[in-house]
Amino acid sequence: MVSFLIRRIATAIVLAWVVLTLIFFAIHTVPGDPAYQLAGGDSGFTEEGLQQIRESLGLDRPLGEQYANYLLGVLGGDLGESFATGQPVAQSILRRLPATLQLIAAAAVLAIAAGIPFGAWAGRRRGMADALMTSVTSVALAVPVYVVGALAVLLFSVTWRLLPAGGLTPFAEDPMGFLRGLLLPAVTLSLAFSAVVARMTRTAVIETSDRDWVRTATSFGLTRRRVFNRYVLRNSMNPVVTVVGLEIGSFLGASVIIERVFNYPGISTLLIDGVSARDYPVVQGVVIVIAVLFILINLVVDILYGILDPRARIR
Amino acid sequence: MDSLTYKFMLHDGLTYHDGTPLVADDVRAALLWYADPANSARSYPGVRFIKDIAIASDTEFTITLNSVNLSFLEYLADPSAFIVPQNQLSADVEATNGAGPFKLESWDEGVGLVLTKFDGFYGADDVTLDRIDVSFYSDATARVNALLSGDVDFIDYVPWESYDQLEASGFVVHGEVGVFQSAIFNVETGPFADPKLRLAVAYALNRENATAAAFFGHGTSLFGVPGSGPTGENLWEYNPERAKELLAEAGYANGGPKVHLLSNSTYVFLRDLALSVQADLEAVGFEVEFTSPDWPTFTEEAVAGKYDVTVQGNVGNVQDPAGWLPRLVQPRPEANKSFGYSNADLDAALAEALAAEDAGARQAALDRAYKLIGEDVPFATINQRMQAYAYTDRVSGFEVMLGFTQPYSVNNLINVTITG
Repeated sequence: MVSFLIRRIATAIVLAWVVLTLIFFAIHTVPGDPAYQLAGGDSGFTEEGLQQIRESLGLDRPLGEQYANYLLGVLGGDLGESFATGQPVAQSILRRLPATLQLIAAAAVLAIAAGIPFGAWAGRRRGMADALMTSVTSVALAVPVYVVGALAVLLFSVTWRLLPAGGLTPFAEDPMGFLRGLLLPAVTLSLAFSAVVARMTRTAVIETSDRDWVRTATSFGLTRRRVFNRYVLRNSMNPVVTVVGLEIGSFLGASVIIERVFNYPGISTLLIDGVSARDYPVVQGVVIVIAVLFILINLVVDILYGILDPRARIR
Repeated sequence: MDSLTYKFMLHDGLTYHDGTPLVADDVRAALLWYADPANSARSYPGVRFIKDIAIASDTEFTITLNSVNLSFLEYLADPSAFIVPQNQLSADVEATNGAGPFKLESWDEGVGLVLTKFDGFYGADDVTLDRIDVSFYSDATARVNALLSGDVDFIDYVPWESYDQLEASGFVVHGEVGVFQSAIFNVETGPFADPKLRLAVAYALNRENATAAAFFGHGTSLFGVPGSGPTGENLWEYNPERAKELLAEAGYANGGPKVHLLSNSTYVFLRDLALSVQADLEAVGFEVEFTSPDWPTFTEEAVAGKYDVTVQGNVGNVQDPAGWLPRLVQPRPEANKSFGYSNADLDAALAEALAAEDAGARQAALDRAYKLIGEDVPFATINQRMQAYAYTDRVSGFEVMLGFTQPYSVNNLINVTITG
């Protein structure tokens, strides 16, 4: 298990470095002068003023030197300072990251809580239950997340005024307000995911139920309910855990749209604003954090997978 | 005192939010900092005329100009010419200590800020709002939904497609025209180095269609220089036949030249305007290649002159055309003016108008400038867009400022009250 963990962590570190390098050179290659964005389109700046801004941001130095400085900073835990605000990027990310993690966690809990029982029910009952599950999940998968979000705002916020249309009140300030602000974005984000979990659970349950040892367990006199709950469901969880891990990672991407629709103050909004302003340190910092999160989630999934199925550790 | 000398007396009791007094020396330091071209201040075009600021006392000072500039006082009133403590006059310092009616209580980068009433403000008795919670909504639909759902009481930058919906839902939609849009050109290289072809564009533009396409009709057509009176406002007309004649005179009788129309994908209204311009140009014979990268890419390409024609929005720092026109017709590294354009006669006419103390001489100089603009077409104006604010009926006392000051309306919330 220890060598398995060391291997995985080493791979994760290399992956994080590759992502850092790629995003650094990608954002510096994309057209769009950060100095011009910083100066503002209608101010009284001159070419000398722009050059002064470039120098103050270190953009006048060779790209290789900028990369080396950035890499050294990251290794020392410094993600640089935002071009636009002068704030340390790490500080900005730490301010926004909790909201994104809360959104992802809430969506994952909702999706697992809804998807696993729904899929297990359809896989066990089959027939009409299976058909119903397939139809419902098809709709959930087919409707784009921004359509679901827009409809949710229209119905629950604009028409019925039950929940806020956007924003998030900090939990410490108003726990009820926090939950109200989290509900619509989390449900919207979880919808397609719960459909995937339900389908995966259903398929895994059907496959496991057909195994010989299930018949054997039943022939020993165990009730069908006990066999299902204790053995079939647990043995069906490996593929579900894998999908959950991968899908939670993809939440980081989907949250970009969710944060936009619900004006949710998460890390994706920071990224979009950073790209729009060509705020290199912010873009690099956020992408690195997202990549590390994605890698960590997959690492946890790998470890869980190893616990659920010891054969995975050997591989 | 005279056209070159202005004597100022500061209001009694001016105090910064940290409790320190605002004195004449602060005004001097701030204005001279803005007048330094290295600081790229927005108010630079006006304050660069300052020759000297003599301090008589903490509340009294005299500004002497190098040459007459009748727009000077307007530049001083521009919100970008804030007076702040001297230790804040640096690009590396967060300038959060002002002397206005509201002080910054907290700021959550990209999310919002909280302002609270400043009791030390000299007119604090007239301020009724105790606190203002500002939330940033970068998405226009989310902004409108926030108002419709009751999350907020007031929004700015109302998207044009939502005016009718908000009014029908019982909200007040209050706006004025101010910012104007123009077709601007690369006059250094390419087809539009020829003024005849720029003039052809000015005649080819169907301004009514453009306003409908980009602003759902919420704007006014422009056929000249906004705010310039009869002699400057009617330089061109919508006349596609005349545009075709000009193309023929320029040597394109059998089809216009191929031109690159650069727009951007970030500001949808500018892209929609550009699409309308594309249709107009193709209707008179131009062959148009259309591109619309994101805003930072667009600005980089525009500043570098990587286009033939583009559509941009502009607003004057001041109302006086002699004050704001130079920025649009003189060489600067900006994306919202024609690349490579310069015209010594036009510069001279505008400088003469700015410095003229006699009203007749000033108008004569301006008329000469307008005539040159009409013929040489450094830009072909399209329309002035309505820019609106929307709020619930609980809000009262909000006033939209006129003309080019319209975008600053939310800077003045002293008289705004909110009930319930």
